[in-house]
Amino acid sequence: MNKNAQRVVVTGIGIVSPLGHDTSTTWQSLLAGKSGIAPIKKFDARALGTSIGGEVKNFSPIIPQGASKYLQSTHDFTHFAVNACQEALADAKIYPKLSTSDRWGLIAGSAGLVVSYNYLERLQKQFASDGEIDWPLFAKKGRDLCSAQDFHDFHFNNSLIGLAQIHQISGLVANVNTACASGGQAIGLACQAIKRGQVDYALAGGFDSMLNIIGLSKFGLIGAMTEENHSPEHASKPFDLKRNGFVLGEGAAFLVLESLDGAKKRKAKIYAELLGEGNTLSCYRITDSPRSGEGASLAIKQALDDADISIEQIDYINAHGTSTKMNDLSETNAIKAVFKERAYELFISSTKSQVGHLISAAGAIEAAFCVLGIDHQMMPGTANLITADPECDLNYCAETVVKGNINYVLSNSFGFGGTNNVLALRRMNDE
Amino acid sequence: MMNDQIVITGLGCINALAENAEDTWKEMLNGKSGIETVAQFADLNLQYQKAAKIKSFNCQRLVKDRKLLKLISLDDAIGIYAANQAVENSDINQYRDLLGGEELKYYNNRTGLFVGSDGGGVSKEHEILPLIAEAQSWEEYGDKLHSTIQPMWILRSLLNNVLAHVGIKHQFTGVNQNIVNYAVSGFQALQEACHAIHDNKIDRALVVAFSSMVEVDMQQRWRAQGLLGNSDLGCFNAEADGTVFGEGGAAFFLERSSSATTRGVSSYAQILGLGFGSDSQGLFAVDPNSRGLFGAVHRCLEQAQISPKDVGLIIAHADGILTYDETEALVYRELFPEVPITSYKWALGNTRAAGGLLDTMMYIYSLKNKCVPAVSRKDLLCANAQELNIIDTQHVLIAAKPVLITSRGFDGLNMCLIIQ
Repeated sequence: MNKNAQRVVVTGIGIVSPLGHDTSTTWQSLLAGKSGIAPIKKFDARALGTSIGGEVKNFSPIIPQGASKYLQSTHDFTHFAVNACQEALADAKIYPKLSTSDRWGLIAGSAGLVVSYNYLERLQKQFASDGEIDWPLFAKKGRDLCSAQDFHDFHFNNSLIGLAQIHQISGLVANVNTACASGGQAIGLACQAIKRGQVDYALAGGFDSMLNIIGLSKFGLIGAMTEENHSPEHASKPFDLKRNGFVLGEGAAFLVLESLDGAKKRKAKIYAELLGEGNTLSCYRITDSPRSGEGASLAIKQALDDADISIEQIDYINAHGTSTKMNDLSETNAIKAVFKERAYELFISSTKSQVGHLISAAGAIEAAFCVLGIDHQMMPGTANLITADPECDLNYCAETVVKGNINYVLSNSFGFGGTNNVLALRRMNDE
Repeated sequence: MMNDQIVITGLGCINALAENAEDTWKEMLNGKSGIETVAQFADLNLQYQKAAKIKSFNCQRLVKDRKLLKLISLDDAIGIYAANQAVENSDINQYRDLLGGEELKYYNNRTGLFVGSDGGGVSKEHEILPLIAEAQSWEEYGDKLHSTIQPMWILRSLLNNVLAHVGIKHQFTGVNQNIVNYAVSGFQALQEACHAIHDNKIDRALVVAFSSMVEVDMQQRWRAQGLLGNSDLGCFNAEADGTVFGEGGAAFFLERSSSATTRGVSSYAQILGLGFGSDSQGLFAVDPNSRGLFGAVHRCLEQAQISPKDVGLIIAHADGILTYDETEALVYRELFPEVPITSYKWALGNTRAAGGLLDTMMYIYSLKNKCVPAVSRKDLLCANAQELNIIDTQHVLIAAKPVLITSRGFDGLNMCLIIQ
């Protein structure tokens, strides 16, 4: 750990989730044990194997004045991000200005799926009647198929650029995509950028929605999702013996990060200190994680080292806990490998049991839950954990809210492709 | 200046001119351009037919591993090829062969992997079209999903495929990032790698950048934005009619100079600084005052601890779009009025995410051969470039002074690198 590095704190939180359109509603619902998972209503998903998900319900985006016109009618996930960012900044009571613009960073883990079914359906109807594109016809008459909106929607960093424009952020603008680890990695990257003095403030988080025909089809093809459509609120059951796949969710979460010195100077409310991160690559398989948890365990060790804390200090881990056989076992073994006997004393829970898997936003919303848990001294438990799995035998806080003595926490995010991200946070007390 | 000397000890690349750095350099020095009329575009009578495509592109030849080919897209093959070449060129495998057990594991844990890309083309999403065509109802769509579409579809469309597969092949288990931020992606990946080494999180890293936007669907999409051109790319050409996309991949193996010394290898160049700046007003809105590029240059100079007068050469982004070229030239006119300027897009096309690393690689060969390729021809220069020192003959490097290399996105994001 660089002793001269800036200390980084969280001073603002913004969330749009399956449990609510803001941080307070989401947090209260989470603690109350509510589920954000329900039958999908955006489109008719009944023909697909999985027809349930953690949708953001009845959402009406509030687009700020001056926003790019393409931000006003693009993907849902962009709107989630816009609102989460606004809430986070309002919560922190600080906004980038022209004079501070280059001292702000905007780093996001963002959606990897941007070609809409609507576009592909139009392409097929007009130029691929038998499923193969008639290129001569497309070349002749396809010039207007891709509207300006389609073009912007397909641009992977369109949302990020829109957010940077709205908030006048110019010091560091980066789009991270390491699948399910993206949101955690974005926060980790922002943390490092403040520590080294590259920027003083950052709006960091993630946004995603794969709750669409393409997303459900792709995940359905590899059998990663549960098909327990009859009981949506009980379908996501991390660490339960009967778990059989994850439930897709959608949403956005952003944190305002800044240097401790800066936050103190402006007398900001400090929710928690972001101590550091672990960031490794498993180098195993694309969709599988090793049973031993190697890779993930290295990331946990790195996070502890970066934070300069010991295993004895950790009170709680927000697990990646996807509710798949393999992830939950691999993660359990990773925790055991690092914490040894202490692993059994830790409070561990997976909030995916209530909101589903937000993919690129997962690490961000779970980091936000950790921050809220530290602030409120309460952490949500794991819902739907009824039948113990003998191989997953740690304390996953089944249906139990953890109260008090939450001082040091870790937030785990592990992605397809093998990227492992672990964030380390702590309570600030009265420093 | 970055406290630790971070040096480049391995190179890998593929582009429209050649499939390695040495041959690319030779072709460029001979004045050969990789920009051509693409036969498929001409056959289809597309409005814009030029591109710098990789010649005789064959995934199987590039990647070799047949199993892997089923899991990746064509775009990914370009990045993976460049990455493997840089690892081979760095000779680190010979060094790793000497290590065993825990020592090897530690070495791999201290080796990072950083990738920058523009996310690739649309074609990988076309796999669903036969199903849409066949299904007459949602019920039928659901019934036929598994029999019509290969399960590997999702894997082929993952944006972090190059990171994942290069990691698996070479077992680089340390810090990693996958940046998808168009033209600045390559330099942002490089910047994160340098920071991770500087912050002592790793000792070395492979940095990969790749881009592949040359396909019919993408060409039609970009045409509609009015950014494509049909003439050869000049450098700050007043008559430029737009940009010409190129395919390419580039990779660097980076390490602390002490690490290079330990394993007895020489370095190609030293990285002095990187800087980012944004004046983003939307995807294609250009700031006439170029605040973003000014910011990127200043931060880069500051990190390198040098002043504008110390810069010996500029490799410009100069992508052939007049408004972008004018705003870029404005910065050089203000800060570097006499510094020689060149650009390599006339030969490589606009390779976006890979552009910065490819330009850097060509500079490394300039350094090695003490000769800078000029722009292909001296055009009628755009207004802000009239007084610039744009080199139109092969320029002999007098001294190995620091060089500034620029990457700019249409989205207002800018990055600069200073190396020597």
